[in-house]
Amino acid sequence: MNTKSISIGIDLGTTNSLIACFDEGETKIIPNALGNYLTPSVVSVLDNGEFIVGEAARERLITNPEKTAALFKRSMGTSRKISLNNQFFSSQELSALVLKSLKEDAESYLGMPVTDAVISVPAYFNDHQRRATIEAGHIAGLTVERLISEPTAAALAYGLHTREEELKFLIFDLGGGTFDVSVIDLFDNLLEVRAVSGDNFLGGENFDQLIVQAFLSENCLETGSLSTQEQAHIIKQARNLKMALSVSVSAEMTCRIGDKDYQLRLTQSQFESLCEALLEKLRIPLKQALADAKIRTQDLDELILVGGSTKMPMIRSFAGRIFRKYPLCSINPDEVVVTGAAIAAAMKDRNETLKENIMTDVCPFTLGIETAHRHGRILESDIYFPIIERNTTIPCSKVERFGTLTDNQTDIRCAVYQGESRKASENILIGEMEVHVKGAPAGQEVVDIRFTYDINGILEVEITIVSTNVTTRQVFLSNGNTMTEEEVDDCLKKLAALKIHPRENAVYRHLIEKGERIYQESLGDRRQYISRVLSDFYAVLEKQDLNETERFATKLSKMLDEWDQGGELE
Amino acid sequence: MSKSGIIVKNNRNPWAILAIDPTDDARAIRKAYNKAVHMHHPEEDPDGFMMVREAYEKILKLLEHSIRVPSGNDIPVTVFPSASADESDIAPYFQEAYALYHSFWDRIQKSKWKQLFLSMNFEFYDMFKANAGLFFNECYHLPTDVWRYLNEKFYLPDSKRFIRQSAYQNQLDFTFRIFTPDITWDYEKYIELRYQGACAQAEKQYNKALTYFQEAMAIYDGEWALQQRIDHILYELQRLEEAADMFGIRIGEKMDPEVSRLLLLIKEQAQADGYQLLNDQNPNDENETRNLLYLCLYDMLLLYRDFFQRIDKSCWKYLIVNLPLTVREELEILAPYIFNICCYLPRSVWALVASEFSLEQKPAFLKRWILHSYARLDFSLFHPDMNWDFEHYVELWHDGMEAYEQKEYEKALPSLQAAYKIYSSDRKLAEALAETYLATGNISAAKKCHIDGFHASELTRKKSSLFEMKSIIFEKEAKAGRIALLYEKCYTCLTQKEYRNLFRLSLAFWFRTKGAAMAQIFLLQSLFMQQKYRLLHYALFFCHTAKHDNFMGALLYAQMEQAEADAPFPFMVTERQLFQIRKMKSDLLTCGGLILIAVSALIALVYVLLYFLGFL
Repeated sequence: MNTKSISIGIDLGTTNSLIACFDEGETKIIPNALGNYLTPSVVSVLDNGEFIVGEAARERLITNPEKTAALFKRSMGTSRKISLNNQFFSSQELSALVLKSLKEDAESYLGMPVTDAVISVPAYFNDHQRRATIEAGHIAGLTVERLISEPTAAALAYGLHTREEELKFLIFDLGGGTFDVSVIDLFDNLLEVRAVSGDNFLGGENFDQLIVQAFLSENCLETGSLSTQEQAHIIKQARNLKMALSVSVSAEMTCRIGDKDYQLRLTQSQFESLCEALLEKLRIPLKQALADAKIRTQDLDELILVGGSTKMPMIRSFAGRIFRKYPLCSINPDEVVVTGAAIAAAMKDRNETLKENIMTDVCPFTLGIETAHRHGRILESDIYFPIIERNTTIPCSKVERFGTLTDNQTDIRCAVYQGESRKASENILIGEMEVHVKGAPAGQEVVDIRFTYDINGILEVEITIVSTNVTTRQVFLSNGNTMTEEEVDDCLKKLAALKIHPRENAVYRHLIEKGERIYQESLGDRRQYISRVLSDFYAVLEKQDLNETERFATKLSKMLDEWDQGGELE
Repeated sequence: MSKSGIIVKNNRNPWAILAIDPTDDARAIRKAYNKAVHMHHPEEDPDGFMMVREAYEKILKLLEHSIRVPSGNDIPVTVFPSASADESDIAPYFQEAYALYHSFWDRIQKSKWKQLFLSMNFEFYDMFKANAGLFFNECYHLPTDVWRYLNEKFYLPDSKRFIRQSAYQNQLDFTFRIFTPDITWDYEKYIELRYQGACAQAEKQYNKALTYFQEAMAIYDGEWALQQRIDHILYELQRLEEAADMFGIRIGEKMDPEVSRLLLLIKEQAQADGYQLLNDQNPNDENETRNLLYLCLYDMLLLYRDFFQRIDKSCWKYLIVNLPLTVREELEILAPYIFNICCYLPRSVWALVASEFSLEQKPAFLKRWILHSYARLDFSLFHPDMNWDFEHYVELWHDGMEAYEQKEYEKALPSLQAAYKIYSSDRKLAEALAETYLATGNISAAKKCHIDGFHASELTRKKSSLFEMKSIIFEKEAKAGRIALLYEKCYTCLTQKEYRNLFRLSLAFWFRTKGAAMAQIFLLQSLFMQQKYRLLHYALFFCHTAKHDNFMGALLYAQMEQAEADAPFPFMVTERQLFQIRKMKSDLLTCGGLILIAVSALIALVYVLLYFLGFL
């Protein structure tokens, strides 16, 4: 380890991603090429085959939805392929592109190569999703030794932030696509995560969807009859409406479909009653986390809101009412997680300033094996037997003893599952092991199965045959659904072959894409004007005169901002 | 494999691992644990950490099981309170619900209950859920929708009260609607009496019901549903005189001139159709059915008179459900007449009465029904504390809209204007009025009205800009009308060879159209014919600088040159030429440059020709 190593933390979000470093006792969030901290997790292919990431790609979500991918974090760890201009990508690959762009930002900011990083994942990401995230880092050229749960990262950021010595607090993290809850107990320098819980499919996007649904039903439209561009436009307008409702009592959205204007008007209270079912859903993980942590609501000292969606007043008052606490959000909710991730990276690297601070995390889900019972003649199989319960502090190691089921059974199969369902098959299969014992009457041959879950979230299963004292070990590093080395290599090759749009041009690219989007959204004279200005801009770019380009870009960006503001008001 | 046996686990003394003496002081234990964790860092010494953690958990478990050890101020981790607590224990958990129930105005709103349970603390909620039956046995005067919600949420039917309540609830539902937030009399008692009475009536214990109702009446006598109920009971009891008295009191006290007017109208219409409805004599007639019919009709009109009851569907539902069966048939015959006059109703009420009285089958009525049920006045914009004349407004609105939808704008205008004068924040009205203004040609008024309407309803800029465009088009059309007139005049001058006049008119034409090609032609033609060549030169210069149609100018220039040299040739503009010129104009816009080049070449040619001519 060199003396001046800088620890990097990355928040790979559903809608936005951030990167931060821990240096000389404090975290710094690294701006991207455009000077913004938030880099949208959007990837797009340009007409010339180049790939762009970030704001410029987000603009293309409206203008070229079929060549642009977003929200791919939601399909992380699944085999779903996302089509981008007739090429197919897995979410790992797309995430890798985002990570790569973040990495480049950091390298140009720090002036040194970046190789290691801690990436944050939602607490409720299962093993497959976690592995997929590590692979994405690998493809992007990052060694990801550690993943950190997003709420844990938020806890770290707050835990170091607070001056209190003893504090029990709950972190309510409602992001774009996921909802995470964690209950944290801070005592002296020990930050103990007591419980985490969450919902992988509940976030700001769901609120947008509700508005879109309301819009469609209000105007008697059907999704099937709309083009992808129109749908994207409606979703964008719905998001604007949601944001407008954060600051005013009522707001309105207008979408032009075909040559007709459609409208939806919502007041805050209407929106609230629209979202009742979602709020009801939010209660479930909250309740579970508190019950698992064995902390009563009145014992909580603080309530901390994290994630962009907690900017909604409805969510604030909802959380505040449940816990009878005024919610805290002293760190920008968008930046909390990445700050925590950077601190976690520094802790892992044993940074001097953080030496006194220790954090213990929990295992977010139950791990167990498949067993069977015999009641007389009836054999009940497919029963899940939990070995490590969810919200157990890690690292941990638990052992249970199991026996053979039938006479002269020689093979013992041990199927490892993750999940909460009583039926083993309804949980997620992580892997299988098999050991051989000598034939004996049922139940006489026994094995001890030990699960060891280490701090990096790696599960080691150890089966000891008691009679012979023979131990078989297996580390569940890879399984059916994750990539082999070769596949990773293939991915690396594939990505290396992709042309990535040069970083220096990101600013100009963004301006062009923004202009294209505004062009699509406006009409008449303004449209002609934008078109002319954009072609002028292209011409200036062709000339490659730096000064002139820069001058033109500043002018253009000001103009676009003005128009965009006008557009937003509509 | 199956679970078998227990492994004898590491049995080291947990207190020794944490290096403290056995204690029940949770803080001391926690401190010791912290210290131990710092010695066995989870990153560096996972095994050591696991051992410490195991010991710590063991101790916590010990503490949990040692029941109520007297300790400092820290309570060991507690389990949730069990659901089998007795009533005194659960009182605090009901506190919030009680508070809501006792605030009457909030209690009858479903949304308040929803909010309460959505934001209830988890432990409180569990306790409440387990004991909800207890609570609602006590607090049960609630409207139907609240009951339905609670039942869904807590599954209440085991509560006896609930069963009874649900049977009579919709009668009370109506009662709840008469309450306003600033109520001063004893509403709790009133509801209780009202409820008991309704139960008794449903069990056909009329005398008992009557006493309850009368007691309730003594508390508050403003609910017409209650009066109606007493009336009906008196009829049932054959105490006709009292019933008539009661009715007399109601009429005597509240005989509304408006109601009698409506009654008269209905009667007239029915009679005109040959239906002998009511005698004009005293309602205390010997004919009971007639009296009862009269009574029901009166109730209906009374309901209609009260604006806020009128627009409330549940009031109508209540009324209709409680109509005595004996007069039902006759009312059904009468219904079209009633609703022809009492027609300013929201859509929901229309749908209700239409289905209840099978109005769709009565063709005479159909037109009105369709019109009114589709006009869609937003009744939700009315609320009881409005101080403008909404009743009049509604009438005007409907009348105006009716004409407007049939595109009889002239007819619609006065009604809409009047309605707009009363209340100007209704978007739909503003829109309709603006459109009507446009259609009748009053553009500035339309614009103003539209802008007002949009300001009031905070409509989007986009939409108003759309409107702006529309009005510009309208303006243009109006202008076009004037221009057309000018053109016509010019044309006549041209044909009659009044060139001086033509010059004047074409100049006006030219300015108005900002240099339209036709105007130029007229202008130049007039000058040309008057042989004012010097002026023509200037005019041509202007035509050249005016952006449009250099081509035409050039053409004329060429002609002029020709005329200077030659005798003037007649240059008449025909319709066909006009069309061609227009077409040329549009062509010109697309390939103007090309044509210009061609034309200038032509001019050059002419010059060359002239030069040669001169030379010769």
